[in-house]
Amino acid sequence: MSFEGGFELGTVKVFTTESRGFMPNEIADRAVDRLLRINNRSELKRVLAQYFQEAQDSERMNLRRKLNENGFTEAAKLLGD
Amino acid sequence: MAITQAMATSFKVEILDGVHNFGSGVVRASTAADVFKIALYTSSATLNASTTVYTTTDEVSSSGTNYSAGGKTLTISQVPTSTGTTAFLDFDDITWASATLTANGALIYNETQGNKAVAVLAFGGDKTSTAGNFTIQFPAATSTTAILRIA
Repeated sequence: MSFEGGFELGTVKVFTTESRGFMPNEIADRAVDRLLRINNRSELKRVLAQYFQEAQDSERMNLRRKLNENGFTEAAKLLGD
Repeated sequence: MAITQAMATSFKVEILDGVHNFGSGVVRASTAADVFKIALYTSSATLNASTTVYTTTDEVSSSGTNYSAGGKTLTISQVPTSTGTTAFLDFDDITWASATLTANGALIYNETQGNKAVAVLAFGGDKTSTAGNFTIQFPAATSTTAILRIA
């Protein structure tokens, strides 16, 4: 007698950008799948905060790039890495 | 009454929790979850089911890429659980920001346990970010899609 089963590995997706952070709609696209499957308040809050942070980081990246492109390198450094 | 041969679903979850030990066990310093990391590799790398431990060979360069050797620490977003008879867990998506790099795959490994390999991820081709974001999205945490499952 035997039964099927075993260890299984899911499939990841890779998203990249060129000379910019993610746009809000790009982040939203990735967030939807995860958010739809969350059924408790604390986890929803944690994941939302994660994606909001990502949006903030992306915008900072865009600002840094624009500041650097226009010679404001010291100002760009103030926005962090 | 009936007896149905099966591997206990609770056992599958407990495997992921590190409860059972059939071999030479490891001494754990605490009951906290181990630290799992993900490292990126170029297409020159040889990674497969025979990979036993994290290696720097053909890892994405740390020079001018905003990538650091060893990769990033993963956050466990779904601790081991089960739906039906399948145990699974999930990680948060991970992003390298302001990154200029090309990667063809990744290795998830257990830093706490001597960098032992957990899973090799093949991206299906080179993925490139240029002064931008490089994000790995993990699949939804369900019994049919989650990144690590015991069915």
